[in-house]
Amino acid sequence: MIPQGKKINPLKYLSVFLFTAIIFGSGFLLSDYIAQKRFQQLDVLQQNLRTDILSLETQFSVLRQAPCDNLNESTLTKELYDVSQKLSEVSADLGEKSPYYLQLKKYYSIMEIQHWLLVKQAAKECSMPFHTIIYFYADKEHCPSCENQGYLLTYFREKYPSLRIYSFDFDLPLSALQALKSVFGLKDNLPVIVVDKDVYYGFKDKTQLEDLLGKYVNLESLEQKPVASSTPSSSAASPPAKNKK
Amino acid sequence: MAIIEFLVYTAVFLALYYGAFVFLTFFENKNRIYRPSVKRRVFPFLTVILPCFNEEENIDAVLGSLCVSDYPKDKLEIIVVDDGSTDSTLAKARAFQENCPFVRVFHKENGGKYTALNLGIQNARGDFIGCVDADCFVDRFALKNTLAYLDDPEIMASVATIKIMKSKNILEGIQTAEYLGSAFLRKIASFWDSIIVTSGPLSIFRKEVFQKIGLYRQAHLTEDLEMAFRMQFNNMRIAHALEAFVYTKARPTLKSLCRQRLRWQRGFLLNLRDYKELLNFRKHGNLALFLLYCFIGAFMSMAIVSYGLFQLAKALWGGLGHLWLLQGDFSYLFPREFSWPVLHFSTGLILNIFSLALIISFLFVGKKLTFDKIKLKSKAIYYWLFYSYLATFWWVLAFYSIIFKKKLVWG
Repeated sequence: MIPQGKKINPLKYLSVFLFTAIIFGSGFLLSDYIAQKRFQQLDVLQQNLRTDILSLETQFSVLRQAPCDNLNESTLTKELYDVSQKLSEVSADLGEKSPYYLQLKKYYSIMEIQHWLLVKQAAKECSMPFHTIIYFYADKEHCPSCENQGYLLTYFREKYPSLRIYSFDFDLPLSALQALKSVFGLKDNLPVIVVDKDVYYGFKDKTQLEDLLGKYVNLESLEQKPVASSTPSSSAASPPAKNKK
Repeated sequence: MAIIEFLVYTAVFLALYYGAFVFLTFFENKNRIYRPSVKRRVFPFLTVILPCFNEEENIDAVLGSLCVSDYPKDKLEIIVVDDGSTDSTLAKARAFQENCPFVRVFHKENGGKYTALNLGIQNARGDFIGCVDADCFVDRFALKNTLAYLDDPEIMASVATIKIMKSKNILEGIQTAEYLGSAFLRKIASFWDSIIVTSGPLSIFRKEVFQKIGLYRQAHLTEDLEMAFRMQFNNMRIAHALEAFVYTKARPTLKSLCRQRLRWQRGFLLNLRDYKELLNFRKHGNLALFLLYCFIGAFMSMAIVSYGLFQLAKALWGGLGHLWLLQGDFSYLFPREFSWPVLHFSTGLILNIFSLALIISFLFVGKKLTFDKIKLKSKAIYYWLFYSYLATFWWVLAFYSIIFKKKLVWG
């Protein structure tokens, strides 16, 4: 005869199932709640960015009237870097195809273009030693070597703090980006690096990148962080050049 | 990716389901965790069998612990069966015999543990027969407390709680935590009449068990597991005496631990094949589902851990690729400023935290219920970090050994 303890009690199995389902479901709800909280933080960050852009535009207006050393784009650079970090998190959570992520990415790309314009203008009008690289990447199917190129450029940004690197998704449907692409007459041959007005196609390894940048600037001078208030702040970091943003 | 996510979610759901079932059973039976202490005047005659093979380092300790047991000596006999030892085990056992008249010593040609146990059973005078491993140390009250469960005429065997003597390294600490958790889970399994091993360190049987279902068998080097399976097959009830303690030595090295667990896991799979009838839930109810849970769990853990290791290997490969890209500039691989890693509280992570909390709770409840005083926190952390990988590795070894028909020796 089957011992009492072995006998299956369907009601017990069912009640434990329901209890487990509640615990399991609460895991989903909790992660959803945390994700919502993070999106709210992102909205706040966007608001801050808008304020900074407005402040930047005002700085530009003032720049026309006042000496160049009033320009300080460090806060904006820091904010841009924060957004890029947050964007990576959203991408990890929602996936790169998520409409919410794509919208934020577009917004971020516009911020980058504005920043690039400011730096370019400041370099020209105030003779400031800004050095910029524009980098176009795409996803793995379109550009298999972009991941490595992005990693190398991030390394360069760390090694040469005075270097400003702006990275853009080549396939992002954004008119401002199309305009930037047409300014340099870019072809669909990724990855693309633009230094000054010169366009370089294809993957560039560490030595090639150093040789290439060496044509425009003394690399040793880029290793030192700028100290003058008229130049980008030492705490400022350029937007990362990873291909997943 | 979708398959592995499905597997992870299913595994977590099953783990949570099992945990909920365990705690529900615990609360249902919280007044039956220990046997109520009864002052008894009459004790049954008990034979304790101690099979030995080259145990010269351990035999004094185990015999000493049995000789000072809180059990009337006129109702106790200890049968030492020397299974053809080539060291001084036999001489030491005989020396003990001179001081303890209730110790009997037998010597035979080496034939394996089960043959030594059977010789002891055939010569036992007691109505109750205890089997003890020679590398153990029996708590003073263990015999009495284990035997107390056999007051219930329906109970045919009773197993003691196994603890680790002293842990000296991380690996032994992990085993200490594991044994505490197992003590709690085995007690719960006893309420489902689903104990699947009459453990070697200390189990006491009614003599009629062997008369009805036969003596020990070779059973893929896991005779204690096979005996429990055979008892379950015959619907004989096994109890767990949570308050009876027997101490065993932890395996000090990874190699020796792997050899032991390979034998256990392999024995589980092969004995399950021999007793597949136990998986019939119409005949064996909770036990069938419990065994099925263990079996499916083995496959799931292998799949999930393999995937985790694959991801780790991929990350390491990626790291090497980055180093190549940087042409050997190691400095960039280490962050210049420390920053806390950003945790993505995904559903998978949260559910995994739930199930890990559950596993850790088993350890601490086990500690409390067995009145243990050890410091468990660090051991529980090591257990949490490494145990799932170790257990999965043992399953892989066991399946490999079975599929490729590898010959196994005692380990």
